[in-house]
Amino acid sequence: MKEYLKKYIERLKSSLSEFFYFLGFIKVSIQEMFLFASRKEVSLVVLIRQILFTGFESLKLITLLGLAIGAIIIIQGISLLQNFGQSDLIYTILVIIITKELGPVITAFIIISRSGTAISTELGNMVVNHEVEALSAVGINPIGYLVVPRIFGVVISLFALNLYLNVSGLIGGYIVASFVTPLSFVDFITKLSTKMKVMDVIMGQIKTIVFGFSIGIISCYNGLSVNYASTEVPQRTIKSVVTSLSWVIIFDVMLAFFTYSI
Amino acid sequence: MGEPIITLENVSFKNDNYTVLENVNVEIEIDRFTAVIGKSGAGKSTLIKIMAGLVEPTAGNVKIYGVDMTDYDSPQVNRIKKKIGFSFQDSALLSNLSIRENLALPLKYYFKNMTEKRMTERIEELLDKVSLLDSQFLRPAQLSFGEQKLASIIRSMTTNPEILFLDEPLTSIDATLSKKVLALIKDYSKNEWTTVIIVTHSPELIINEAKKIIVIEDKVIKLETTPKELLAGGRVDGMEIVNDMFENYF
Repeated sequence: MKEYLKKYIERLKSSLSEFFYFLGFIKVSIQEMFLFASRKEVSLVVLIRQILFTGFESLKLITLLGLAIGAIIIIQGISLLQNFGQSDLIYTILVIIITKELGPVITAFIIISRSGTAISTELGNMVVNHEVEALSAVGINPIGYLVVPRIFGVVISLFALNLYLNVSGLIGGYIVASFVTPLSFVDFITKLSTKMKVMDVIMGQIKTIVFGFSIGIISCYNGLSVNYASTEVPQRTIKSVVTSLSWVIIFDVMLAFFTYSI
Repeated sequence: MGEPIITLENVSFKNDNYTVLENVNVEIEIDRFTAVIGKSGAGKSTLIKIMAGLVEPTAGNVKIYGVDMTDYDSPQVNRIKKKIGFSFQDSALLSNLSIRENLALPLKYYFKNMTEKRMTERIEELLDKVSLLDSQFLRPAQLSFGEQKLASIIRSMTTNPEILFLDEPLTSIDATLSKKVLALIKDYSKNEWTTVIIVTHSPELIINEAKKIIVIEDKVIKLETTPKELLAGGRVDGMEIVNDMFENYF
């Protein structure tokens, strides 16, 4: 029993120390984010590459998902709501699901699976190959050069992709709706806009900023936490995915409570 | 004796539970060519990484120009780091950048006002010295290991650092490349404002260039001497690495 307690306390100590180390990492990263403008000559290329990879290259997948989600909501929703004579509620559901709730979460999941894993793997391999150490050796702060552009890249891409998912989801909804009931595009947009509040869009976009920052920082932290061996890289990548998914869900719930309480 | 620019006081370093260095005290003087020697795994690389402020010691103090290098938040540390160049045992070039971009990175970071023309001149001058001009747009993986190492050595020199650390620059490269590296190091160390600290197994380089030799054994600095004193004294009792290395010179 004593032995078990001792081990448990040691594990707790090590978890706490890693947690505080992570908090320190967040603090330094935020400090370095403010210095980004002064170092843009070096870091801007990294940022542009990150946006291209995270944002631009995800467009096809996001479009497909947006169209599919919009279409599924209409197919399922109309058949159900017509029974109660509440067909118009479909617009409210469309806005709540795509713009406010599911859109940012789905976009975040896509970014975690595509870019979060790529960031952790890339940084992990850089540590193993001593490339991070080499940056320090030439006096370049690895957080300023490697972490900050990636965080900005993920935040900007997530913000833009979510808007794109919104548009493609609503268009997908319209395409299917026009098959079910003949409806002009203007009518669809008019009905949709009466149900959509500016605050819904703002809340959705605030979520993308929070999710983007969390994914960026968690992925970078786990990548840079690799110590010596390349076998640690996939382990850290898995940890990065699980932690990012958990925090996106936690933040989503917290922001949902916050939204409904105001 | 020159003025000390690097001072290590009671420095120890543990890797997990394994002690690499224990209670090391050493001073490196300005305008000196210092060679660090020791058996493989003796802690030579760790020692110079600690000297350069790349690795934090488990205990003790590291000062460069009197500035505590373990105080990472200090702006003075960043200022000092600009004066340091470091070439690793393995090339450690950034794999997603071309050789030219690798060399340009420290220049862009430090000399924000440097013109593109001046930067190109500096990079091409260095690449030309080691016959890598034709490979400047290639990625590190497209070069041989020796060429990568050459690129890594000249990267450490791009900003004309006052303190240059070289970790086994002659290991794993052929005789022709070795000649180029030797010429490059000799040329660089001629400058009055440079201090070179090198980890090497080359007795020729040590005897011809070094002004100070540091021998590491059993986690501590066993001997600090000069090539002249070492050769005059002959074989050193119990110091296998020194005796084997300079066998032909005693």
